Order: sequence, then structure tokens, then C-alpha cells
Amino acid sequence: MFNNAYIFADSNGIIKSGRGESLLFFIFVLILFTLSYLLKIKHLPTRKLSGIEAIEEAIGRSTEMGSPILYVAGLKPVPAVSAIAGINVLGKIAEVAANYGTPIISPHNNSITMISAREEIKSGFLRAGNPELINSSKIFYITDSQFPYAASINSLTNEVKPGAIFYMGTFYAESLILTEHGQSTGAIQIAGTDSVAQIPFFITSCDYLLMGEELFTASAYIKKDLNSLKGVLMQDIAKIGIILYIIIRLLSKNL
Amino acid sequence: MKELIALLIVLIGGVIMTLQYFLNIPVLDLIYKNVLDWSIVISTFALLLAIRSLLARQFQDLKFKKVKSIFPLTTIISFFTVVILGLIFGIGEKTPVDFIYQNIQVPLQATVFSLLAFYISSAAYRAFRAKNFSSTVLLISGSIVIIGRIPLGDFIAKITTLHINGSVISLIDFPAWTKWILNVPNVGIKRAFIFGITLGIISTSLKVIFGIERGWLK
Repeated sequence: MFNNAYIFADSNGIIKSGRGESLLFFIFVLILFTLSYLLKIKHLPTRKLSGIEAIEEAIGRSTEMGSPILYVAGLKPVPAVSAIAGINVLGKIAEVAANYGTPIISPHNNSITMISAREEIKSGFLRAGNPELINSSKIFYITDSQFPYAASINSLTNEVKPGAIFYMGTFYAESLILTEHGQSTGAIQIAGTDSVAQIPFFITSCDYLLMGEELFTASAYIKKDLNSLKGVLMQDIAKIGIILYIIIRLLSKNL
Repeated sequence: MKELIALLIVLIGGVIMTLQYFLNIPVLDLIYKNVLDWSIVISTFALLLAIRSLLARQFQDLKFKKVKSIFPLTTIISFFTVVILGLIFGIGEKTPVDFIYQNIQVPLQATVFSLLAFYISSAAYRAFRAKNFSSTVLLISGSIVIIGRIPLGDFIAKITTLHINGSVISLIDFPAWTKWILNVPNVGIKRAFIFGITLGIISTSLKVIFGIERGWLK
């Protein structure tokens, strides 16, 4: 039905070799993105994201226990999209924690992510009207090595006994080392990741999980503003488009 | 004004980088290479921030004795030892830094990694409980995959093999069932996740490029 060889140029043409199909997909998404922002929509309903709804419950429980909360950033640093999405969720966590007067401890494996987290926590505490509770020394750098990072966080978990632990971003083999240890301390654990291979581990060890795209939509879900939600609408329409494309390709192959 | 300049830099940079990925224009590739060089320079400065944060925390722990003094002391001594040895002897092969890396850091990292085996067992023990329909499906498929991946699976397939009219059929073929579970439902679900994640990444990137998402500006 579609012969891409005729549609896209080779490496000597204007489009880089092997990237024609991705360009077509990108243009399709870009058109949907533009259209969703041009549409005059007054209200966009969203389904419940239990991982975000549980933030309040987790921090509330932590406050009752008199324990701090721990925010663990993934291994991919800012400007990775997963890290930015994680930092956006951190803003909400900081706001709720500031309302309850609960301290946040956040170890990092990258200094740029650490600075972003510091600023986001500061903004969250300011929004909640509790700037006096800001303690930047509790948002610190440990190491950029994977397993020493995991070992340090486990040691920190033993030391401070957090009531709630949040894991947001891209994780690799260290995910289960972190979450199983956190689970053994009895803390409520909420994770959000785009690492497909680690999702089963997070499901097993954490109480709530923002799976894949949920991490990216969490920011819009928290803000509830129409402009951010329009991006989510675009994602849903694009998914329907992809499903239709797969069905058409399947039928054209089988007929 | 400051915000506007930052937004403009992101908009122009984002558009150029996107075009560079798809289009065969030499000047865009040159810009991309330069930006990569800049990011290396920036990350070097970021490392200074990291060192400051690390040492400040260790000295604080040492001063206020929040934890046993041995831990911050070990970190501080290790840090300065590696830095001094690196400055004097370099960091190439067969240098003291390489010796420390190969004989201390690598085994320590491997030790932490090996903990994963025990954590997988404890996680599997908790996950494999037939509490409801979904967990029963997980238990059954998990058991099939485990048996299919060990010699016992091959042995069962061999002893239950029948030869009917020249064709070979195994009645209990765990390795084949494992292959089907991993290649069909597992890959299908993984691809669905990947589609969602890709769209999420594109959507968030476009929102950042066009200034709709401004959380990073704080």
C-alpha cells in the first residue's frame, strides 16, 4: 500500500537516510498538536491518576509518623524529558509537603537535576506560603555512578526512615534494589517511570505507579489548565491514529 | 525580559535541533556538533557544583555527627586520594587511579549489583500470589516462563514428544510456550508502552519548545 522507498529521499537527498518515516510521524504529531491548541475547547475531562491522587495520602501518613519524605530522581538528568516530568511532579509533592510542614530529602546523581529540584521545591514551598521551611542542604548530590547511588540511597533510607518515598524518572537495574529496600522499611512508595523494562519491578515493590506516558501527563493532570491538557488530547488522538495505521497496514498485507 | 530571552533560546534551539535530526543540511550538523561541545563544557562546570554539594554534606555530617563518623571520613579521604593520585600520575591504564577503579570500585559496584538476585527472589515471592484473576494469570505465565528457561523444561518437552505420521509434536512444550509468551503478548504490551512514552516525550518536548510548559524556567 505504501512504498516508503518512493516517498523519502536517500542520504544524498534533503531527508537523512532512514529518518523519513520518523519525520512523517513527527509531522503527523505536530499537526495534531497545532490543531489541538487551535480548537476552542472549554473543558477536557481526565481519568483519575491514582499515583498522583495518592501523593497527599502518602505525605499525610509521613507527617503522622513524624518522618521526612524522600524524593529519588532517575538516572537520566535534566534536560531528559523524563527528568523534567519528574521535577514537575516534585513541584506538587513540595506544595503538599509544605502544607503539612514535612521536610523533603532529595539525593541526586546529577548537579543540574539537583539545582532544578532545589528550585522546584523552593517554588512549591513558596506557593504553599511556607518559605521558612525550605532547607536546601537536604537536596544534595551523591554520585553519578549507578550502584553507589543505589547503595547511598538505601543507606539514607535506613538512616532517616522516610514515611513516603517517591521515585520519578528513568531507572535501570537499580530500581528493584531501591524499591525492595524501601518496601522493607514500610514506607509508602510512589514511582513514575518511562523505563519499560523496570515497570514490572516497580509494580511489584511500589504502592502506586505512574506508568510510561502517565509520568508525562502528570504535569498537565496536576495543573488542570486547559493548555497543558490539550497536549494530552493530542497524545490520545495520535494513539487512535497509530491504531488505525496498524490496522490498515495489517489489512493491506493480508488482502 | 529574562524569561522571554530564555524562551526564545529554547524555541530557536529546539527548532534547529529538530530540523538537524531529520534534514541533511551541513550547517545544522555543524551547529549540533558545537552545541554538543558546549554541553560538555557546561557539564564540567556542573561537576564543580556536584563536588561542592558532596563535600559540604560530608563535612556537615562529620561536624554534627549525624551518622557514624567513619562514613563521611571514608568519602572525604577517598575523594582527595583519587584526585591527588589522578593529578600526579594521570588517569590512564596502569596508573594508581586505574588500580583503585579496577580493584576497589568495580568489585564494590558488583557487590551491590549482586544484591539484585536476592531482591528479585523476594519480589517474585510477593508477586506470585493468586489473589485475583490478574495475579493468577501472572502466576501461571511466570511459572511457564521459569520452567521454559531451565533444563527441566527441555527434559519435559523431550519425554512428552510424540511422532505422529512423520511429524514431531511435544505435548508439554514449556520452551515453545515461553517463546510465545515472550514474543507475542509481552512484545505487544511493550510496544504499546513505547508508543505512549514516545508520544508523551514528543508532547512534553513540544510544550517546552513552544513555551507552554515553563516549569523548567524557575
